[in-house]
Amino acid sequence: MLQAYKANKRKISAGTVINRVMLVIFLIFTLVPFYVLIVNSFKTQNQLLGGVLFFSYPLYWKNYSDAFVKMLPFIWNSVTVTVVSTAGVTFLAALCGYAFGHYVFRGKRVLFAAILVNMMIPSILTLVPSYLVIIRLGLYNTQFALLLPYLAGGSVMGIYLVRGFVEQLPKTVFEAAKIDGISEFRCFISIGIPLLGTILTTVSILALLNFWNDIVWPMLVIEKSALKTIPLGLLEFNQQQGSNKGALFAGYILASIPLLVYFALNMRSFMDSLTEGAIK
Amino acid sequence: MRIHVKQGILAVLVAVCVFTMGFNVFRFRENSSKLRLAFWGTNLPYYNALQEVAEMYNERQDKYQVEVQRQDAGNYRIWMSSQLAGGTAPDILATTSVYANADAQNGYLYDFAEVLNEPNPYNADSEISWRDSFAGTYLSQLEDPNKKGRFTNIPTSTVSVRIVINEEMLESKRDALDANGINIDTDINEDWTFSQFRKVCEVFEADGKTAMQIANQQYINYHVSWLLDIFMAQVKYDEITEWDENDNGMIESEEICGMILGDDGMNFSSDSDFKEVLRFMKYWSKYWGDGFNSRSDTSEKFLRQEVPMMFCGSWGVAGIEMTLGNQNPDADQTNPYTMFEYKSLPFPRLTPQTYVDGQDGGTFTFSNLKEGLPLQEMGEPSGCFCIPLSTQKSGKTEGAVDFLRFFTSPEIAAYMADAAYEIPVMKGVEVNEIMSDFLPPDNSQTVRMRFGLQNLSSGTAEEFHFKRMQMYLATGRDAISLNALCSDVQKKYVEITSQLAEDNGWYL
Amino acid sequence: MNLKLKKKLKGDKIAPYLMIAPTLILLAIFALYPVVLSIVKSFFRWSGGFGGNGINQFVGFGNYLQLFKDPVFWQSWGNSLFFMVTGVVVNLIFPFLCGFMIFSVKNPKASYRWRVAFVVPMVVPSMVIFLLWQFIYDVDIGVINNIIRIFGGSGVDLLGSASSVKWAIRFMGFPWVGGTFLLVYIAGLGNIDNSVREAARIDGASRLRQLLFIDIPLLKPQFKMVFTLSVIGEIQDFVKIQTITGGGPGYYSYVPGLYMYKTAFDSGEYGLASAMGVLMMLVMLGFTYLSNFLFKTEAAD
Repeated sequence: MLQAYKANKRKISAGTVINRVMLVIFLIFTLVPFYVLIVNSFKTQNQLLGGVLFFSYPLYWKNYSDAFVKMLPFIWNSVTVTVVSTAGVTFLAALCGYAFGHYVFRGKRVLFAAILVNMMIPSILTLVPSYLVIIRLGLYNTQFALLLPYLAGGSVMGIYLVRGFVEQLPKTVFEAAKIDGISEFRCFISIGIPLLGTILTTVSILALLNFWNDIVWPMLVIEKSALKTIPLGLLEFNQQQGSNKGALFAGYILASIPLLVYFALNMRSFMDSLTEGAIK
Repeated sequence: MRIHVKQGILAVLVAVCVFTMGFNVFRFRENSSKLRLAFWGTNLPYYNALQEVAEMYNERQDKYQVEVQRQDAGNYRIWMSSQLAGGTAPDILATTSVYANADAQNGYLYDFAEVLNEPNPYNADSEISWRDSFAGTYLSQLEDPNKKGRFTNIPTSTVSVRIVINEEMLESKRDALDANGINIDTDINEDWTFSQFRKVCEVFEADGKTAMQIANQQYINYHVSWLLDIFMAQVKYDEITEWDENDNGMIESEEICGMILGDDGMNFSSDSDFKEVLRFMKYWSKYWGDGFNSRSDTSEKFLRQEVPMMFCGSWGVAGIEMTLGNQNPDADQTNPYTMFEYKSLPFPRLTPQTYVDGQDGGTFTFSNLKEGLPLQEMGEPSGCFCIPLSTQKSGKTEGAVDFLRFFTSPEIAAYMADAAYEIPVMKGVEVNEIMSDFLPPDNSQTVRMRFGLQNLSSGTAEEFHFKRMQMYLATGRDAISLNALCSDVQKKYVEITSQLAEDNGWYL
Repeated sequence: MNLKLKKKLKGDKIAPYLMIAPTLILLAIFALYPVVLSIVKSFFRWSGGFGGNGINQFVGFGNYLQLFKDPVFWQSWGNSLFFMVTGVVVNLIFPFLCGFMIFSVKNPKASYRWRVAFVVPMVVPSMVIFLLWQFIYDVDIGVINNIIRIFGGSGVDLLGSASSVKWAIRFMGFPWVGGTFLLVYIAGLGNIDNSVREAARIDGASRLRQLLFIDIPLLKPQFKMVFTLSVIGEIQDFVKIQTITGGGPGYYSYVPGLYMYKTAFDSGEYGLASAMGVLMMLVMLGFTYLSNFLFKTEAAD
């Protein structure tokens, strides 16, 4: 009995060891760039020229204060745009998805198809004309040039997710409220939204990640330094800081922190949302 | 209850962000009563000088107020196109001849042809026209290749290329150089030859160093094209003079059409001089050092004193001066640069037997070489400005023209040379010591022919040429061959010139 | 009472339209209209202006013909094909291996931690990753050259030489496991009915055999999805290349997206750029059909 248990255990651990070793190797290689990033963010240009593989002492903390001054406006711009767009997308997706899932109305199939077809259109096709539309509307170099297309493009996936969710809700929940004479919109706000909680978290997290990381679109419509989001700010910083790479790396780290913190605080829902977004 | 706190915080955050966005629109709205001048760049001395000029102008007269706005270099072209397409462009825009030609094709730019004939009121000599107040061919180079007589941009300065040398590093090798047949005092001067230059390089290369950095970075860097022009100007001097039918010192697009499409036209795919120059460049480029094709910054190594020489444009002087001029004699903990003495020399001239190295094939024969030419490669008008047609709607065209007249007066040109290391393009301008090295005698330009297709058309053709050169000079199995490059260049030239000739009705 | 009911019914009729309207209007302006514009203007020589501003001239298939005659356009597609093929191979293998290994971790807590560890890089702005890799490749002070020099070698310019630039770009993000595809595979593995595996295990099939004969065949939908998404992603992803090499040296890392970007925003030839966009969309549609064909599943989804 004991013998059998031991043999069994040994057998398992052989496979497990290989498995874990492989995972660790994968992880190490994945994290190498971040190691390089951290190590070099504490270096003066002189120390950097001496080698980039290991820490060199004394650590030069001033890079961080230099980078902080430079990166703060970009971070704030990114936060502004991302928060407003994410809130907007979540609301629109909830509203629209609820309408498609809850009601029966004329032209429903056609309208839903008209929205879904946007998932098939590659963004690169619309890049040039969308940009010209923004110019024509006089929105170039304003944050609304980011917000409005984000609201349009970002909500499509959300509508799809919310509709699927709403269709599975029992209709009886809403019937009682309607008999009470609550308006349709109030019904959506006070009964619909609370029921949609989990799926709206998913929608908002997926939207948040997309907007936070977007590069191409801001690159086209935002030129003013004071309005730049993090990716653009990093590029600008990169051009200006050619001769002090340490501060540049500190800037990269600072730019990554806000979302990392948010991720750490909401890890569970982040992981679930990403998985859900990946499969759909 | 807790969930309400969380929602409350979220609501406040969203509200603050919405407010910020609205406020930003208000904060960054454009001031419409002033004349807006936009330019790009990270060049701080230039920006400061430009602002100073605008202030001088605003004080000098009370009809117009000019406001300078600096745009980000990386996105300037996108920004500019968007403003032109949207009809919301500033009243005066910094541009390049390539951009201006493209924008003029699209019908966005004001044509200076008429006002150029009138005198410039800010010029002391009020008799001569604005057109004639420009030196050399700086202005005529900007004539629109697609339409004769159209000028959609005005030059304010020019650029030239030379070699800058770290004198201290040179001095430290005095004995070794002597042994290699080079005397620092008598051989390294304005008249040095390429063979001498290579012997200097060999001394440094013996230590395993790169002797001269050449930046061949991305699409914005034309050093390789500059080199091609420098060599071709010597090897093809007689032909170039012939091509210049109106003898104005430059080969305009019409003349290029003649040179390519004419009966005894130049054929790049079979021309032996052209091929020999390219073969020479490829052979020599093996000494250019790591990363000449990459994005790493060349001036870095020169400034760190790791490389004794650098191929340098006049636009690079401001950077060197700023980096070295602000440093302590000793590098401190954070700063890798120490101060050193440097000087600039013209690019070394070719000789009929040009030495590159001692190996087989290391000496090149240029049979048609013209010796004794003034060897200062310069004359590309830079600092060009254009006026969008949309200013006519707001009635600001006149003011914009007036400011550009002020900007191109000798007084302001001299100020810009002093304060921002810009080489003037006006007649009769005095410049400071550093810049005078970069300025040839009588400020006459020597570029007759830009082989990089710059004279011909929009960015795509130019980029094509430049990228082809990169591919030719590249090492490895993917590099294109000499014959492939030459036939590509010929094909592109024929394609563009045929189109141009057809569009303009030349030779038809 | 009767009136109230009527009102309610009426509200019921209008409400869904009102709820859909904002999204639909936004989509019409910022998504559908641009698509139509793009397709229409690909037949024009157009400088991007509206209402008589600039040039707007019908040229039929002129833009398309010009592109087919353009060697640079073909070369950029050649490069893009390289990125597509290598990208598909990499994404089909590496995230799957890693996902399989994480899935094999039986302790749910540990498995979760592994997933988190590999998802963290996704949270870092991709621009940071691009710029970091650019530094890793830097010919002067980069990481790779630092290591080479420690062992006495001389510097290599991986991004600057024609023969290595595409491989260097492909190698960015090694070992390519941190990201969405990993989660796709893990979710797919989780969906496989455990009784199938159990049966195989009782039959004495080793873990490797289970992997080859049960997991991989059953993951067909996931492989199909990864195939399609990576092809589409590679065709569209020009920002990475724009940031790292600008398409250089020469045209060795030029891709159609970058060419379109430059045609539109550097040269102002918006009509030509639209034609490029349309062609890219057609290629993407083609690949989507190809993936349906390649990964044909017997049972309908």
